[in-house]
Amino acid sequence: MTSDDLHVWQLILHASWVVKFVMLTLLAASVASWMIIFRKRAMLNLAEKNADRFEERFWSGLKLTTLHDEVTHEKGGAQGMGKLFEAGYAEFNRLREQGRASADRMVEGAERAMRIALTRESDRLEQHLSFLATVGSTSPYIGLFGTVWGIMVSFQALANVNQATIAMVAPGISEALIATAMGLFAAIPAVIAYNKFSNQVERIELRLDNFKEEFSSILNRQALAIGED
Amino acid sequence: MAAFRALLSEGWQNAKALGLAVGVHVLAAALIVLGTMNWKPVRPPQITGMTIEAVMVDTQALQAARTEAREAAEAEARAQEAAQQRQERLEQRQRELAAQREREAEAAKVEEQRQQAEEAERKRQAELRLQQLREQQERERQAEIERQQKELEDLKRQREEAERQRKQEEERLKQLEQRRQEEAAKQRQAAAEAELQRQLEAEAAAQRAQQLGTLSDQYAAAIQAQVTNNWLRPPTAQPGLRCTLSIVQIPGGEVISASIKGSCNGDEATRRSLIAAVERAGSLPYRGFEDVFQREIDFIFRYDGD
Repeated sequence: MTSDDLHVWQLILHASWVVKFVMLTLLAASVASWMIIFRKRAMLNLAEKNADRFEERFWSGLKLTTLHDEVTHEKGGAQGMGKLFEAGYAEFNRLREQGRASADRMVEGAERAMRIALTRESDRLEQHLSFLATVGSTSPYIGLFGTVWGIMVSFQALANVNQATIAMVAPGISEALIATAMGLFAAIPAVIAYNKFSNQVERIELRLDNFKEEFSSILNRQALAIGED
Repeated sequence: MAAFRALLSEGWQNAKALGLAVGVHVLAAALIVLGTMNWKPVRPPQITGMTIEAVMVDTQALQAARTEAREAAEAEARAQEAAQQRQERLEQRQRELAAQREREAEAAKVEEQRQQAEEAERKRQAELRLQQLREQQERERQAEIERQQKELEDLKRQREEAERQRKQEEERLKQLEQRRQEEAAKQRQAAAEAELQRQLEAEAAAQRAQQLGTLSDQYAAAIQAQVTNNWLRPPTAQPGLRCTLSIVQIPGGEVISASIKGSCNGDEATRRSLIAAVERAGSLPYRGFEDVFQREIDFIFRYDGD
C-alpha cells in the first residue's frame, strides 16, 4: 500500500486513540449483541416447541399422576410449561397429603407455586434482552461521540495555517465518520432483534399464563371431588 | 458487560453463537473493504525541486581543435583506400582469365555426354511404350471379366437380402400382435381388480361414515340426556327452546367451561340455568365416544316440553 491509499483500514489505523477506543467498544458491543441474538433465537424457538409438545401431551387424556412422573423424570429437568405443571401439582399433592387443608386452600397453594414458577420462567426468557436494548439505544451516541472527537482534532490542526484547504481536514473527518457508521451497524440489528424477541417472549408468557389458569381450574374440580368423598 | 460475562460461562452453545457473531462481522468487514476498494483520494500533485548544473566553456578553441583532428584523419583514410583499390583490380584480372579457360573445357565434355544420353533415352522410351500397350490390353480384359462376375454376385446377394427382410418383417409383425393381445388382457384384468378394490373401499368408507354418524348422533343424545337430568327448569322456560351451548372439556369428559354461543331463544334465567346444568353435570359422557371426542364442542340443547 502506498501512502496515497485511502482505504478504510488505513483510516482506522490513522485515527486518534480516543476514536480507536470508541471503535473497539462498538465492535465488542456488536459482537456481543449478535451472540445474544443467536443464543436467544435458539432458546425461544426451543421454548415454543417444548410448550407445543407439552400441551399436546397434557390434553391427550393422560392421567395427571402419570404425566407428573414423566415430567419429573425428564432428561435435564422440566422446562417451561412442564415446570409450571410440576410445581403446581407437587404443591397440590403435598397439601392433600397433609389432609387438613380445605379445597380452596389446596388450589390456592398450587396457584401460588405455579405463579412462582411462571415468574422464574419469565425471568429466564427475558434474560439478556435488556443488553440488546442498551446496545440498540446507546451505540449510535457512542459512535457520534467518536465522530465529534475526530472532527475536533482535525479542525485543531487548521489553527496555525494561513491558507487552509479542504484537503487538510477531509481525511480526518472521513475517519471520524467511520465511528458513526459502526455505531449504526451495531444498533440496527440489536433494535430489530430486541423488538422481535420481546414480542416472542410476551406470547410465550401469555401461553404459560393461560395454561396456569386452565390447570388450576382442573385442580379445583379435583379438590372439590376429594372434599365430597 | 455483566451480561456478556454471564454469557461467556455457558459452554459450547456460546462458542457456537460467538462463532456465528464473528462470522457476521467478518462478512460485513469484507463487504466494506470490497466496496471501498477503488476509493481514490484527490490530492494536489507534489512538486519536487530539481537542480541544474552548468560549466562555462570557450567554444572557439574547442571548434578549431576539432576541425584539425578531423582533417588529419580524412587524409590518412584517403591514402589507404587508393592502395587497396589497386591491389583489388590486379587480382580481379587474373581470376577472370583462369575462369575463361575452365569454362571452355567443361563445355566440350558436356556436349559429348549429352549426345550419348539422348541415344540411350530414345531406345528406352520405345521399349517402354510397347510394354505399356501390352499391359494395358491385358488389364482391360481382366477388368471386363471381373465386372461381369461382380454383377452376377450382386444380383444374387440382393435377392437373398430381400428374402431375409421379408422374413424378419413377418416375424416382427407376429410378435407385435402377440404383445398387443397380452397387454390388452393384462389391462382388462387390472381394471377389473381396481374396480373391485374401489367398490370394497367405498363400501368400507360408507360403513365407517355411517358408524361415525350414528356415533355422533348417539353422543349428542347422551349429552342432551345428561344436561337435561341436571337441569332445574325455571318456570319461564318454554317448550320449543333451542340453545347452542359451547362446552370446553378435557379427555375423560370433565367440563372445563360452558357458555351460551350464538342463537338462544330463552330468557336470561333460562340461559343461566342451562350453564348451571352443564356445570352441575360436571363431566360429559366419554367412554365409548372416544372417536368423536373433541376438546371444544358446540351442541344444541332442545326442550320441547315434558
